[in-house]
Amino acid sequence: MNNLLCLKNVSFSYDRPILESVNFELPAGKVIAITGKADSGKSVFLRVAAGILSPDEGDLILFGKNFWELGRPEMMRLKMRTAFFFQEGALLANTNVFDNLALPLRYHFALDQKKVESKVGFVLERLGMLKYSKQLPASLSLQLKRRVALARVLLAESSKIYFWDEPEVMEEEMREIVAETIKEAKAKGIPSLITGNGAWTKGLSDGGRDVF
Amino acid sequence: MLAVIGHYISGRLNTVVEMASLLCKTVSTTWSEWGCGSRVVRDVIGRQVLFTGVEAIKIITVTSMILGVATIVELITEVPRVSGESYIGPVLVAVVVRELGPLLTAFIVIGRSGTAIATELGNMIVNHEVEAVDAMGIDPLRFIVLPRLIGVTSATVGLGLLFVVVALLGGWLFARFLIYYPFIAYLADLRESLGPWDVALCFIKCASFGIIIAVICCYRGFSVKLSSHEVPQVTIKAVVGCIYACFLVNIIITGFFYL
Repeated sequence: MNNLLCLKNVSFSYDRPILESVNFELPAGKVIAITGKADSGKSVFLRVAAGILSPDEGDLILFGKNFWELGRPEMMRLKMRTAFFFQEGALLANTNVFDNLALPLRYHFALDQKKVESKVGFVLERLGMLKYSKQLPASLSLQLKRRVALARVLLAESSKIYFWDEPEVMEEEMREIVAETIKEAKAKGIPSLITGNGAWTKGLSDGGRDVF
Repeated sequence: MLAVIGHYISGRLNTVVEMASLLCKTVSTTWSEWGCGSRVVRDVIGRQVLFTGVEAIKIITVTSMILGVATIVELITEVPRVSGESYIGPVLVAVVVRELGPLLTAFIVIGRSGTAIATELGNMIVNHEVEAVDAMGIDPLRFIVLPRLIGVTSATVGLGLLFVVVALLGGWLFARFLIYYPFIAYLADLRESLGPWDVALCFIKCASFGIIIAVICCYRGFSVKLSSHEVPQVTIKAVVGCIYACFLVNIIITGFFYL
């Protein structure tokens, strides 16, 4: 099976062990839910799998390459092929909603202002966020921040793997868009890794996997 | 006792090595990721120069003017008592251009921008903003650290040179109300004592201090682990570290100059 992502004997700890010798594979076109009780390390697992956190031991094989042995430019190029949904939003605090979403488009593709406005505006309108485009994240509620985080994922059109951190916490309308995105990606052979314990998350996945 | 001292020293050395590593990795993104997000990075550099440099012009002007007045008045009053009139120019240049100018500029930059950088980066870690930038395939060293390194360093150099000019010229402008020191005589003293090496030394010190401030404050900001209560703690460490480092580097550069 064509595995786009592999974790081999991965261990990670903060002040206590969180992941210990974890092995995991994500084949193309699969949707896998990572389940476990609260504080069991689901978000940490997702961040290690996405190459955001560096494991204490073990390897992350992403798109066939040993991620942590690559140079920084190549690491960044691989990350451009993934999209990560942060349940906290994780928006740049001193940048308004529009510029938060425009950042990767301007940085990676040097798109001109018209194209940026067109792409970002389309996604903001789809998520009912157009009127908030000039506001700073601090003035948004948590659910609105999550919508912007979702918009960021939707704008990452070249993604080959989706990482979803607890998307079930979103409003029902947004969950439908998430489900639609995951199903469309699956049809194209693009896998998703989702964390969460609810029936909605389990209903989306092809199979669950406890972190422990 | 020796073990404790050894442990302390090795901890400090470790920190210095990590900071040097941060500097090298950041600088290397200039060519390893050449062209990546250039416009975006340039915008961030511009904002940093504006905040660190342009917005500090007022405080630099006031501080340098006060230092200039005080130094000139003290020199004119005290030095003639020991028949040292011919030393007024050299002492003025040594004190203002070579030593206090760069140092006081650095302290102002530490207080205004250093604290802001450490606090901002610490909050970015707590709010997962750095993770988000990283997850988008944008190198945080290139997008966050490099603009601050370039912005703070260039602003510190600019502010340092402004400090010296205002202290020397502006200082005389107000000092003449307190003491008798004709401008022609003052200019002649300065022209005799101020050489290209003095300006170069001022430039080298300001550039070094700018690099130190940016690296230490970014390093400390990024050292926040999980909680927002760490942010003020790392900011204090950043300020104290910058002050120590600037004093140490000042002595080293001065030592090389006089060797």
